Formats: sequence, structure tokens, C-alpha cells
Amino acid sequence: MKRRYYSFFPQNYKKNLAALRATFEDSSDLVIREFSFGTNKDKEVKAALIFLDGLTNPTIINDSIIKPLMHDNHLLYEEEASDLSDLDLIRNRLLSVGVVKTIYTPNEVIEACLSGNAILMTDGFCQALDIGAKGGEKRAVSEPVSETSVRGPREGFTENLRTNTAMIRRKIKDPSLKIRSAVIGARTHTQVNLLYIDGIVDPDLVDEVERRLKKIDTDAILATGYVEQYIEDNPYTPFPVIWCSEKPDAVAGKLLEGRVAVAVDGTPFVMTMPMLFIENFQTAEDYISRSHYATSMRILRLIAFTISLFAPALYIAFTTFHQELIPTTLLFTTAASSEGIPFPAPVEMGIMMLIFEILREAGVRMPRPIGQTISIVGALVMGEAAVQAGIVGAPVVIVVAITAVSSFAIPFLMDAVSIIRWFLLILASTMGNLGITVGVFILLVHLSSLRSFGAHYLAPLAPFQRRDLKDTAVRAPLWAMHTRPRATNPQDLKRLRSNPPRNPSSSEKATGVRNHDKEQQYDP
Amino acid sequence: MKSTGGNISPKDLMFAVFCFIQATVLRSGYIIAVTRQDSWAMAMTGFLFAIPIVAIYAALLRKFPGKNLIEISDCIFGPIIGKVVSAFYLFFFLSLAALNAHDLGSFVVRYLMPETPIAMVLLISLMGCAYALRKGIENLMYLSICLSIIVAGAVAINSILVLNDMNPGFLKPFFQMDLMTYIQGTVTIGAVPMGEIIAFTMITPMLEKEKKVLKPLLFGLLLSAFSMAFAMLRDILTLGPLVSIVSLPSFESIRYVTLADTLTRMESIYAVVLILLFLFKVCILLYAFILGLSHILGRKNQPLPNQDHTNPSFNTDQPSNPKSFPPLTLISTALVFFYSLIVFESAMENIDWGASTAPFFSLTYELLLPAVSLLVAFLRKLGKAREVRE
Repeated sequence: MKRRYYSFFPQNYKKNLAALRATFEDSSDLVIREFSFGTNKDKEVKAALIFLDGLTNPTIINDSIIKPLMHDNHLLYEEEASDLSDLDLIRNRLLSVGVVKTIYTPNEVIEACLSGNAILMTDGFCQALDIGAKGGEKRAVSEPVSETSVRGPREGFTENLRTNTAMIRRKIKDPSLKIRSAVIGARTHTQVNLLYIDGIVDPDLVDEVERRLKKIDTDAILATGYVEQYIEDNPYTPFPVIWCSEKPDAVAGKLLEGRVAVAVDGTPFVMTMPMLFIENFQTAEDYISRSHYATSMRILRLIAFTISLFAPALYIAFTTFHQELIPTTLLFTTAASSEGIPFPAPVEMGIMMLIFEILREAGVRMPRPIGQTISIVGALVMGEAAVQAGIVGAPVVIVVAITAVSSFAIPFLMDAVSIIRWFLLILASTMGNLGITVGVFILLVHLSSLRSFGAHYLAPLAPFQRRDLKDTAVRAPLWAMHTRPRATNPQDLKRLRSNPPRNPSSSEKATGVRNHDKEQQYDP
Repeated sequence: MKSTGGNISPKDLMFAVFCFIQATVLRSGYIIAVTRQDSWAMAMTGFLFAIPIVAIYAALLRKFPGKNLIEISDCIFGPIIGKVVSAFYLFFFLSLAALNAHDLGSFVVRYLMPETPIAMVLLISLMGCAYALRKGIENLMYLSICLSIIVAGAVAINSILVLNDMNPGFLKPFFQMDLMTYIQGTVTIGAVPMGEIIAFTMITPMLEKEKKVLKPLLFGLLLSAFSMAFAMLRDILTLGPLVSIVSLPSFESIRYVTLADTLTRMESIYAVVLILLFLFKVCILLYAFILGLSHILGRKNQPLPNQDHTNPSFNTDQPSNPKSFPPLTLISTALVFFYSLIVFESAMENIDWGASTAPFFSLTYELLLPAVSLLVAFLRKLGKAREVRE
């Protein structure tokens, strides 16, 4: 890259500082520390250290930059100490900071300042030093709120990008883990990192993600969701087509399957792509617990998804159109409970679902103690009172409650399900079972048409991939998962070459036989 | 990342054929009415009857790789006569789509929602089909294996649950009817559900390997023949002499299911599966009609509303194969809607048509026209061999 030398750093040092002050006008956090250093008074160098208070680490500023320059220059050789007008000398011999680079333009100075670095400008040079002094307050690594774990690691991502990439690096100690960097947002200058494992990931996928990131032209990127909306394939689908997690172990697992991760500074979530529909039912814990239990949990989540999507619609279809399908005793009980209710079943269900959505939203947005109060007042008091007052029937409350509880079992799909549920409810209210069936058909076709970075969203079910079924509703034992998912098109398809664990008695026998052979071999 | 354009695998095609035929198999009443307790054998003889028909399609498609039936007609008969032949095919696809849509509508009205007007049922069903076509036919084809698994599961579960009510004696007497009855049964099965796979000749250019058509079509048919025989056997063993009276034997036999007095009325599950299969079948037929119509009218395929992603393999909001989303979808769907409303005046007319007229009507388009096309292609030495020589 050609470097353009502007007249920003000429001999007129005061003018440069004035220009910088003008740029950061009314920014009280800008600190310009002017000082001079050098052993010889005739050759004393005027310098300024520029940084934004709060973004830098004061210890680095004081002990690793200012102190060596002003007081430790006796450590230099005599011939060097006599003339400190060389920036390279300052960088190589005085500054005890890990990251130092030379910059040449005013824009670089501003960018470095805003990203938390310190800038050393000296009088008479057309260069400056960008000194890595990032610091400031940041949240400590803590247990993720959205994904708790019983047996797995308890650490979660923080708002600091470098902490997040370091946590992934700690999981995958392989030089093949690559971290590419980009800055997005004309005003926010948000740092975005793209992570992948070279040799596993499809290079075209990496290029595509990078290309889509580069195409983002916006002034603000404040969280992962901002980037997600700019790079996803299907902006109008209710289903999530980019996966994200708060857990480093989960993201590391996705990277090892040949996916690409995107981490955004300022967000404790890291996205991975491409995403498959079945990932909505997978958790990091699945791979830690025994395969039987993990499988049963997966099936349970699938059932929960089905209930949360179809329960209100089926209730309406059965009670309004197909009463003959309800067992007789249950039909009498339901009819008795609904007697005297002033509204038709679809209206009743609609009201209750609306109340539930309001309660959920209120519970999430309110502070935790008040949120609990809302749940109690809303769910218990209002539900009970509504039934006793004869405004809604008890079966409707039960159906809405079971729908709500089921939707909490599939947190990734909760948003999508809460919208599609209404669509199915309208279809069921107008056309009964036929409406639901047509709705299912439309849903299936829609899911089949979705793509996430070229991967079929419904894979391995549509298109059908028999060999990839081992991590869907059934979670096969780890030793049986020899290959990575084909949907991500990994370069290295083979994941492991291990055999299933053997019966100890048979392995002992085998070892014994081997030892015996060895003894025979070495027996003189 | 593989490109998604025109990547229908032979496996998808095979199971699509299975789903396509299953829609008719599950309502096998019109065949059982003719050959009664021996109907299960007609599934196998019907398959044998369909083999030469499929061989003709395969020969045509191999001679003109990458072309669908309408384009092949143009190549063989020239631009004017070719258009006339294509118009015949189009009429056939339109009729089949309308007949199947009507079948779906009358099934729903008769068994699920007796007070609902058939027009509403047809409207909502065809809206679902139009949405599916708009999303791309290949996405529907990808679903075929999943649908097949659901169908097979439903058939297996239902069959296990009615084991208790089966009586092997109902199969007797074996093959006591006159030969003409068996021939009628064979031709009916060979022509009506099986020969209708002519609609797939409009989709085969989207196969991964365009030339490998015969195998998936034949295996799909074979699978359907076994499934059909199995379903008919179950219905005959369960219902006995009643089987030839009811119009939907599978539906009636599943009504026998009672599990611990809780799982009753299992036919509702069967109804859901049947509606899904009908929607699948109508989609395929509608697609064949729409694609042919846009070709005849010289309408170019619509550009798909993709995102501005330059790498075509990632440009996948919609399928990238231009043939997967032809124009005129909504107009054609409306045409099928109105046609299906007026196609039969009564249920009796429908049954009579299925048993007596349908085989001859279907064979004209399924056997006669393709056979003549192949013959003309041979006589005029058209197709791949000539192109190679040139």
C-alpha cells in the first residue's frame, strides 16, 4: 500500500496540535500531554502524548511511555542519548510497550485515538507513533445469562472484542485459527473480527463473509444484530439464519465444524455462519452429556417446538371444526368449561395469546424483581380471575400456558414461533385442519427455500443427507461422529478417526496378547 | 458451498415420484371397485404396464438432453405443429391439475368440513401451491424424501394399529374374475396414477445428471407399486367386502383403530398426510402447466429478486435456476381454480370418469403422443445422434 505523506507532521508542531484540538473540539476527555525530553538541553525534543481519557490504561501511559522518555533515557548509550530526535530510536529503545507502529496521516491519528491508543507526536517529524495503550473499564468474564450450563464451561463472552477472541483462542490452540479484522461504521468505527480455522473451512465461505462485511455501508454498528441484518441471506424470514452464542465453547465447536465466526466489539455475542435449522435445537451441553440423554433432550425440544407452534391452532381447529376428533369425555369436559364464555374460541385464544405476549415482554424489560411480580400478577392472578369471571375458559388458559412453557424450551426460535403461531391461528380459525395443513406445507416449503451463506437451511433433511443425520434429532456418541456436517462444505471432512471405546476385558486381553507377543519377540 | 441451481438429485426425483403417486394410491377406491379383492396384484401388473411408457419418456429425454417435453415437441414437430402438440400436453397438465385439485377439495368437503364451500377449500389449497411454486420447484423436490418418510411412517403405524381387525380370509377367492376386468384394472393403475409422471418430464432438465432419468423414474414407480399393493392389501384384509363400496378404503380402514380408548379417529392423521400429498402433486402438475404455457407464449423467465451478492453460489435467497420460477404463476393458478370448480357436476360423475374414461383420456397424452413423438424423432433422425454427426 502506498503511504501518502501529508503536511500534517511538518516542523510546525503547534499547528498540528491546534488542528487536532479543533477536530476534538468540545471533547473534554481528550488529553494532550505536552512535554520535552532529551539529555542535552540544546537538542531537547518537544513532544505531545495524545489520548482519550477512559479509553487508555493509565499505567501504560505513565510507566511505559512518559517515564522512559522523561527519566529513563540514561539507559541509552551515550551517543544515542545525545540526540533523541529519531522516532525509530524512541520506538526501539525507550518505549516498553508491546504494540507500537508508525503512522503518517491525520486520519490515522484520529482513528488510533478513538480506538484507545496513545499517540506520540514529536516536533519536527512528519510521523507519529501509535502506541497500544488500550484500557479502561470492562466487564469481567462471567457466566452467560442467556445460556446457562450444568456440566459445561461457565465462562461467557464480554463486551471486549479482544477478550472474546482470546477466549476462543484458548479453546483452539492451533495456529490454523485465523482472525481477520475489519472496521465497520462511518461514525462508530466498530472493530469486527472474522474467525475461522484454515484447512477446515471452505475458503469461498470466508471470502463471501468478508465480502459481505466489506459491503456494509452504515454509520453505526453497535451490536452483533446490526451486522447480522446486513449480511444475512433472507431478510424477510422470521427464522434466524445466522447463529449466535454467548459461550466460547459453543462457538469453538462451530468453528471446528467448518463454520466462520464474526465477533463484534461491544457485544457479548459471537455469530457463526452458515446456520442450519437443526442448530436451533442444539446446545453446547448436548455434546458434554451422554448421547442418550442428549438425544432425549433434542426430541423433547422438537416436541416443545411442535407444541408451541401448533397447540393454539389445533385447539381452535378441534373445538371449532372437528369436535368429532376429541375423545368424548374430554369433549364434555371442554364444553362444560367453555359454557357461558361470551367470545368464540378463536377470539378467546387470541386475547389470551396477546396477554401472554404482553406479559412476556413486560417481564423481560422490567428489572428482575418487578419482572417476577409481573409474572405472578399476570399469570396467576389475571388468569385465575379471567377464568372465574367467565371471560375465558380454563382449557384456553391451559393451552396458552403449555404453549408458553414449550416456547421457553427453544429460546433460539422463540421470536419466530411467536409470530408464526398467529399465522397458524388465523388459518385454523378460518379453515380448521385444512388451514393448519396448508400452513405446514407453506412452512416446509419456506424452510426448504431458505439458505444461509449457500447452505440449505433445512439440511440434512432437505436435501436429504443420510450421513449427517447423526447430529439432528439423534445425537450420536462423539466417537461415531466421524465427519463434519456436509452442509458447511468443509475442506477436511473427516473429524476424527477414533474407534468406539472397547470393553475393558477385551482390551486387557488384547494388551495381554500384545505384551505376550513382545516378550516372545525380545526373548533371547 | 455448492450452487443450488438445477441440483435435483436422482434420489429426490425418485421420492418425488413416490409422493406424487401416493397422493392417488391412498384413495384407491376407484381401482378396488373394479378388481375387488385382487386389486393388490393390479399394482404390480400396472407397474409392468407403465414400464414401456416410462421407457418412451426416458428415450425422448436422452435424445434431447436438457430439454423438457414442450421443448422436445418443438424440436421434433417444428415451430407450428410443435406448438399444437404442446397445446395438447398443456391441456392435459391443466386437466390433471384441476382434477387433482377437485379431488382434494371434494375429499376435504366430504370428510372434514362438510359445511365449507369447495371454492374456499380450493382457494386456500391453491394459494399454498402458488406460494410453493414461487419459492422454486426444486425446494419442493428437496422435501420429497421427508414427505416420503412421513407417508411411510403413517402407513406403517396405521397398518400396525389395524392388525387386530385383519382377516386373511377376505383375500379369497384368488383371481376368479374374467380377464378383461384384470386388464381394465391394470390399465387403470398404469395410466391414471403411474402414467401421470409424464409431468416430471418438465422437471428432468433440472436434474444434476440430465441423462440419468430412467432409473429414478422406474425405481420411484416400483416403490409406489409396492406401497400401493401394501395399502390395498391392508384395506382388503381390514374391510373385506366393504372395500369395494367405500370411495376411500384407507380412510375407512383406519377408522377401525382404537388404542386404549384414547387414540381414536386416527383418520385425521391420514387426512393431513393426504392433503400434504395432494398439495405436492398439484404443485408438480401446476408447474408443468406453467412452464409449458410460458414457453408457448414465449414469455421469458422472470429474474429472481436476489440480494446483491456477487458470488452466484451464495446468491441463494431464491433458487438460481431460471426454470424454477416461471412467470404466469398466479394467472395459471387462477385458471386451475376455476377449471377445478367446473370440472365435475357431481361426485358420481367423478367416480364414473375415474373408472371408465380417465384411462383412455390419460393414455392419449401419456402414451400415444410421446410414442408418436419418438417415432417421428427416429424417422427424422433428430436428436443427439444427429447433432453429434453434425
